[in-house]
Amino acid sequence: MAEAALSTTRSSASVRRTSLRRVMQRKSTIAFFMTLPLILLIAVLVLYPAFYSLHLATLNKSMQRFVGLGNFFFLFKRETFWMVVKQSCIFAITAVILKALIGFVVAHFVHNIPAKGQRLWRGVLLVPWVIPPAMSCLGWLWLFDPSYSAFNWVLAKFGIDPIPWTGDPFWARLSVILVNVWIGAPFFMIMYLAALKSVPEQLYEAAEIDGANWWQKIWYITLPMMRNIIAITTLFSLIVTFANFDIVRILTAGGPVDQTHVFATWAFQLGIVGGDLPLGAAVSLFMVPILTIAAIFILRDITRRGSEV
Amino acid sequence: MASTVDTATLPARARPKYGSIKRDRAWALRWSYFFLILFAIFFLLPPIYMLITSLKTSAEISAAINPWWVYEPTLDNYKELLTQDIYLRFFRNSALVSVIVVIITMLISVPAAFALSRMRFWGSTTLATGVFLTYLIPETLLFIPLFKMFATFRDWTGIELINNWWVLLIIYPTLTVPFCTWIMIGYFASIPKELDEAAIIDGASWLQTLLLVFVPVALPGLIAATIFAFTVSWAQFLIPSPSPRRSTSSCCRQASSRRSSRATFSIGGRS
Repeated sequence: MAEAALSTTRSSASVRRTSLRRVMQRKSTIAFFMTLPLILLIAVLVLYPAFYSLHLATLNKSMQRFVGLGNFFFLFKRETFWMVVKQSCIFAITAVILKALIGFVVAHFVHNIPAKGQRLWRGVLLVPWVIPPAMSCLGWLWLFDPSYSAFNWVLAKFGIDPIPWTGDPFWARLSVILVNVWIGAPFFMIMYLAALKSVPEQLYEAAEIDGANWWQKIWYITLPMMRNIIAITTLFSLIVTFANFDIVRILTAGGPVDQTHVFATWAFQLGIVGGDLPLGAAVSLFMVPILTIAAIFILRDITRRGSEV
Repeated sequence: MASTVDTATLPARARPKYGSIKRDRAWALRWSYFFLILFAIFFLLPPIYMLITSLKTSAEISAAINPWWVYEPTLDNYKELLTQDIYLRFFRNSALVSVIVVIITMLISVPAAFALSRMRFWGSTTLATGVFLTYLIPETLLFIPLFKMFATFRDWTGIELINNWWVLLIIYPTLTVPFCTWIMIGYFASIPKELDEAAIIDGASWLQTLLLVFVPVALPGLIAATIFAFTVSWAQFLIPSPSPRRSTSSCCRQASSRRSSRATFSIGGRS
């Protein structure tokens, strides 16, 4: 009896000694250590700051007193805030729609030409996407420059009055959207081109035999076949455009009279330049709802596709 | 000759509603080229204008002449730029930061992607989805709390982070790692399971399987991820922005700070 107990304790001790080694060699442990840097990085530099900004947004300017939702109420009372909400939505939605349209049209044209020339055209059309946005924005800024605008010079040749590209609220908003479309459209083009290539040619041939015109072919074949990729790219682009910073910051810096600020630039203006970090954090938090909605849609799509496979 | 042309076109003209598919295609092709050229002009306009302007003298930029043509081409701007200490330092900053960030990104995301795609463990699918979701959190949401975090860190430890260039090495991976991990998971998932099973049967450890089997096979994907990480950190504008001291700035930042003075217009033209 005692001997048996002794032997069991001895064996359990030896088990314990080897068990640590065995745990270390187990697949899940190794996997855990392989993902540990990733988990740490996300936890410390993404998740923590995200929740920290929630906390920040409830402090007063000197960050010593808890003011609850005071910052938010303060924002609601400011006219500029509602202007920024409106401008962000106009900016993101218009830009994404235009990008998607141009991307779709250009992808069709590239798809139409013989395969041999497609590489070259793809390369040429991808240029705006490859240049760092901050750099190409400068190029645009010079094209828009109030006194030396190269566009206005061309317009003057046709007898059109100079346009205040970044000086007038309407034109400034338009310019910001134009530059955003210029930078983003090639991405749509490349995604749609890939999707177009995966549509079976037989469907078009069948439609042609049935006497479908080009519009019917697009509406009944191309669009349904590309639905998934269109949804995903649009949602992605909506997120990126909504959180855009460089273009507005460089082109107009929010002006004239704060008319072109979007959430990110206004948060920067208030938080870093103006020194009121809590208020800036509060502004940037307003990006969260629309991002969450987009993320839910994207996730749903991914899980659905995952279950299909 | 003329008669043969006529007979060739006549049937098509006789029933114009249907046309011939071949002729329709030829027209579609012509229109495609026409519009492609239009779009190419639209897409290439700013870069070309930057190139043109970078070849001009300051006097020519402010003169009221055709801005689309260079009357006195000069390379002085490039000469000045490349002999300037400060520009070379910015350039070195950009290059150094980008290269190190790429290395860090790969060291973190490749093992993680391997573990998430091949070694199923508790919570691995949730983690994979979580990685993807963090990619959706924009940097513009994070820069204020990060700014404050680093300020607090300085108060605690006395280590100044905000105006040092190497703080970028800590921040940029947050922008690159989630996406790179995500696409690497995709690439690794497309590798046939028989490959790593064979490696394990032959007695390879997990690490050997990753380094000797997966990395070589998924090399195209790895290169794509590398390029992505490099461009993200190379083109970054927001994160170096808050720092007032110049040594942190990268090329993009420098160019933008120069935008106000017309005289240096052309200097920022290329980087």
